[in-house]
Amino acid sequence: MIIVSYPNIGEYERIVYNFLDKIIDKSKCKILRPEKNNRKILELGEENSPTNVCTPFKYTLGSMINSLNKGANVIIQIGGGCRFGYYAQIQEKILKKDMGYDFDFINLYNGNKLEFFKAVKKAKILNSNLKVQSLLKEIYFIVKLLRFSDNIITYIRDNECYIDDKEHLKKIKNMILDDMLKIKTVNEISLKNIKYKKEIDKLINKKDGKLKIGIVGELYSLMDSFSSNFLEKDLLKKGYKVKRYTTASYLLLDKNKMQKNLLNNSKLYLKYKIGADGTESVAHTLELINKGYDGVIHIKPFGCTPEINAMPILKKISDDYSFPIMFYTFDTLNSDTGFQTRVEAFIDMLEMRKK
Amino acid sequence: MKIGIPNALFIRDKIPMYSKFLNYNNIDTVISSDTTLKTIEDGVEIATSEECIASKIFLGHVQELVNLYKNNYLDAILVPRVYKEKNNIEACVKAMALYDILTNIFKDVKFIDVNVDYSKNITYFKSLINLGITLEINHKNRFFGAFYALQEQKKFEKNRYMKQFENINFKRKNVLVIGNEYIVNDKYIKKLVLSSLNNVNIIFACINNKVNRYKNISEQVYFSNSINVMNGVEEYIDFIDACIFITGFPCATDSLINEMIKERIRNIPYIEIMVDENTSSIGIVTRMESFSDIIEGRIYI
Repeated sequence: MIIVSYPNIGEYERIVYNFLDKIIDKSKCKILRPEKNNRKILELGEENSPTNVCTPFKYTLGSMINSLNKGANVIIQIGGGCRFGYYAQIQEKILKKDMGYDFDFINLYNGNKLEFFKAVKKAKILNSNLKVQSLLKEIYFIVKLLRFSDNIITYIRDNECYIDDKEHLKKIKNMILDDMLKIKTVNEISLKNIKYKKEIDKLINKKDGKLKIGIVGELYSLMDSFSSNFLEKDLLKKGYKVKRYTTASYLLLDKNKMQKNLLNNSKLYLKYKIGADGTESVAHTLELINKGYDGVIHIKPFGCTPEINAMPILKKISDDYSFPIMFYTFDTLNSDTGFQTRVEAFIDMLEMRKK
Repeated sequence: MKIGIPNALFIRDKIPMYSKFLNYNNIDTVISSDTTLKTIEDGVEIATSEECIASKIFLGHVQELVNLYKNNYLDAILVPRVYKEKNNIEACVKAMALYDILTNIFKDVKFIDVNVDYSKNITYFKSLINLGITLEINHKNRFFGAFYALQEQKKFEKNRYMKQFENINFKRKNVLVIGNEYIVNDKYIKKLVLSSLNNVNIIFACINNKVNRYKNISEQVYFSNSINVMNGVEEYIDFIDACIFITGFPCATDSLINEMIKERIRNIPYIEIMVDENTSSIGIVTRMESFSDIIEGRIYI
């Protein structure tokens, strides 16, 4: 029996599950959903990773080891962009040669290039009858699902501070997460989208005076709550308005189209792209300033070069606009207490400024 | 007119080309001096704490040129920006952002940028032509200037390549030193790491020798500095008795290719030395002395 698994990233693993569930041959293949990131996964990754590699490498490697220990025998990895393009080959080497696991590794990227037809060939392990046409149809569906889930979750995040009935909101959120696994047709997506938006709108009670905080930075830390010490969830829980632009649909579908606009909007500070999401960090910070936000938290894993590139520029913006920006770097040895203290101090400062 | 060129990071490898282009067009060039402890200290003061050592050194070099600019000795500072050097070969992410970082850090300093980006068909030749346009050099001079500059660069690279090969000496133990060119050939770092390595023949392999030998190690690498390091390993692997990988802390690309290189040179003594602004020479000397004992086979356990 083939047991296929993949590394975890936030809630998006549900969408990957949904996609795989539609393309595999269920008589010969089973999907093993990766565990949510946790301390154990991080430790597994850290123990077996090169010393100075960035933290997402450690999370994804840890997630793979965990799945292999649970019986997975096929692992899918997606790479591309910045150091991500190097991940798959090193992880395959570590898992097979250094750790002795015997499994099939499906890497969708060759270096920094997506190799669609090679990936289709490799995916035949999961379903020998898989055809390019049907695969393209499923990709179309999954893109729609990704768009739907990102849109609705972003809509909730933007309005969560105006919703008093948190219990009801929690139920809606859980239903959306369930749907990410269960929805099977494009029609269902459109119906659910309308339904959830209506339900959420009923709960919203807009008030002024909420503290508005933006979160910018590296994509993995932004999209996976454990790797950023649940920063976003904590801020939302405390009732602040939180804005985060980076989502999987933005990165995969919109980023290339938006780059010119982003550069144009930040032309006072940037002339060129500064790598990966660095340009976004700068452009989105400027957008948040224009929208009247009170402060920005910039997060990244240790050693993330594109975000380090953005830091001096963000510091200049902070000086020019007298706008508070807090920088935080996550690594494997984060202290929750230290992090909480810094965030609390930053928020206290924002509240005092607002008064 | 006088233009300053920082003698650090990926720019130092292209200094012959930029100097030739500017000199051909009657523009004087001032190249920042070799790295010293003060250069590093200056860089550390300006840089954000997590910058790699190479960019801290770079900022130190730029600071030296900025001081000259403020004393009216220079008219501008040249900062090339590199994204794609060839199709599917990218420069380090740092190289993409240098111009923007500098313009945001140093106020009231005139920086001249030259963009190299093959994805937009801006080759080195075209980038030099663009530089000529920025400097208001006439059509004929910028064309010939760019032509001679590229020839000069080719000559420089060829000479360096030949010199490195001539360095091999079969009567002594050959030690291959690999790493990014701006780290390995930086005089300060070279002295710090290699001064205690005696009685061996040192070969530096960090040049852009434009071959595809790196594919023996990995076909999937796409950062040009990784490719150069791997080409170096493949070029000399049959002649060497030991290998030293000098890497700057925390170099993004080196942190992953070191695993691939380790795998390739399995049966040869190998050491990885990581340097940063706080590296103690005593620690390095101890490590290098034991490594040289291993190379010379003086250890019997």
